[in-house]
Amino acid sequence: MENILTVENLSKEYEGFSLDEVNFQLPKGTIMGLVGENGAGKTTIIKLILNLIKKKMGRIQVFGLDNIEDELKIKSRIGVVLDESSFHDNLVARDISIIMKNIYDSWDKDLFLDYLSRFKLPKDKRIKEYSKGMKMKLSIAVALSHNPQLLILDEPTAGLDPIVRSEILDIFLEFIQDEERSILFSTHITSDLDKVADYITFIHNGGVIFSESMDGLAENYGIIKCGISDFNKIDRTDIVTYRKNNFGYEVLVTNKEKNRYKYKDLVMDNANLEDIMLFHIRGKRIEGFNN
Amino acid sequence: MKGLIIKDLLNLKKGIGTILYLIIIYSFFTYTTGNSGMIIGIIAFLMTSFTITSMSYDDMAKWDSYALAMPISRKNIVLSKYLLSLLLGIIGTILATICAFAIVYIKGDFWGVETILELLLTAYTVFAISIVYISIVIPLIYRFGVEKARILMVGSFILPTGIGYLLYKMGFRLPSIEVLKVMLYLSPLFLVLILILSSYIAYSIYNKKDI
Repeated sequence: MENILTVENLSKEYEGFSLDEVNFQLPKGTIMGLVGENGAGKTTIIKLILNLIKKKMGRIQVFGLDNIEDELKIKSRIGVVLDESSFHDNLVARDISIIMKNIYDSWDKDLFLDYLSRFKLPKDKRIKEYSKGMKMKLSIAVALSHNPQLLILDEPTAGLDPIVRSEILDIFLEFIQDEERSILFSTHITSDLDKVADYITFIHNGGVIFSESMDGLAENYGIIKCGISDFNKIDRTDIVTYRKNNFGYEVLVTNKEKNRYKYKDLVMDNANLEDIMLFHIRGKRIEGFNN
Repeated sequence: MKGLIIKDLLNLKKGIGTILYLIIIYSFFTYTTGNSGMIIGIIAFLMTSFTITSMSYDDMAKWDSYALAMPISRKNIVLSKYLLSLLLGIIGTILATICAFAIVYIKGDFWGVETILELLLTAYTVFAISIVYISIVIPLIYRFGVEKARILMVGSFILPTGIGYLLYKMGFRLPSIEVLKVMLYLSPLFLVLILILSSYIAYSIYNKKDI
């Protein structure tokens, strides 16, 4: 499968935080969720892809082109929504269309007006008077209206109510229908990812814990719930992390099917994305093993 | 580039509208005081200062990171601010000069070529000062941000005035008319140079920045 975005050994250093050798690929026609806690490095990765900040090392390719050498060529083909960035308060949606027409060669005014009416965004109301959800929908409408092949969105669903969120997720699914276009979006709302994501890249402390397909994750990870005596019988190499509570142990394991057979006396549950994230971040590791 | 200028003009629409009121008020002042230089000075200068306002709007909306995510280069973002200043400065100077002429004419102070030359010279001087001012301020804003640059801007006025005063105290006097004339003729060249130098500095600051 052809990749629309490739990130190789990407590193960046800040005082007190560093992004360390991040690798992942985003195939055509798919949606990738970039997940992790606040401050894990999601926004930093997005800003590096957009060359808003300077990388320390590594290579980023979009549409097979280098993100710095062919910066403008790439940027005319991507739509971007940034978390903290927005339009000036005093503008109205109509103004934005005029501005964008003079920035993007491929700006489609009619498409933009379509999105505005579909999202129920008033054309002549000042952005200042828009709600948070309306501002986000406006940003998404703008990002879509020059027919981009890749959407990059930083926390597009954060702080929005479930109705607006599901509207936005529907648009995402519609966008990738033709199998030529892709979406990379960061979030920490795992239920959104359960609904739309094909791939998950999990960032923690500036590093990639895993970058895997959603199906792969579901097949790979399982949770064993057991008491102390059973816990001691589990092979240490099979344990990713474990959590201890009043009722016993919960153990995150990989190779779910193989281990289900291996430990057939124990109860093995499926692990969802949230479980996997929580176990990775908050679970204890067995000393000396790093799987 | 065109998109950026349009964006700034749309944002400044309201502010530029208030300039029209100011023109009426100052026309009245000019009419009563007879000092036609004042209206040119204030209007032209305010128009140029709108560039700074536009940069503070951009700041508030965190526009730059968004702009750079679009097919817009850093160079064009910087250049658009200089173009905007020139555009606003020229429009402001022309508007104010027309007003000044009208007032002088209505008042009956019109003395032919001499009046025209005097007003044009005033207009040119004000325009030139605005350009020098903006050439100092834009790099300062890119380096220190709009808020800190505002304070430094006051400094950029006090400093030349202070130096001038010191020179005067030390016995320097204004050069002769002939020398002033040469300076006047050379000044367009000087303005172009200062604009090039300033935009170059602003760009190299902006280019290194993490947005």
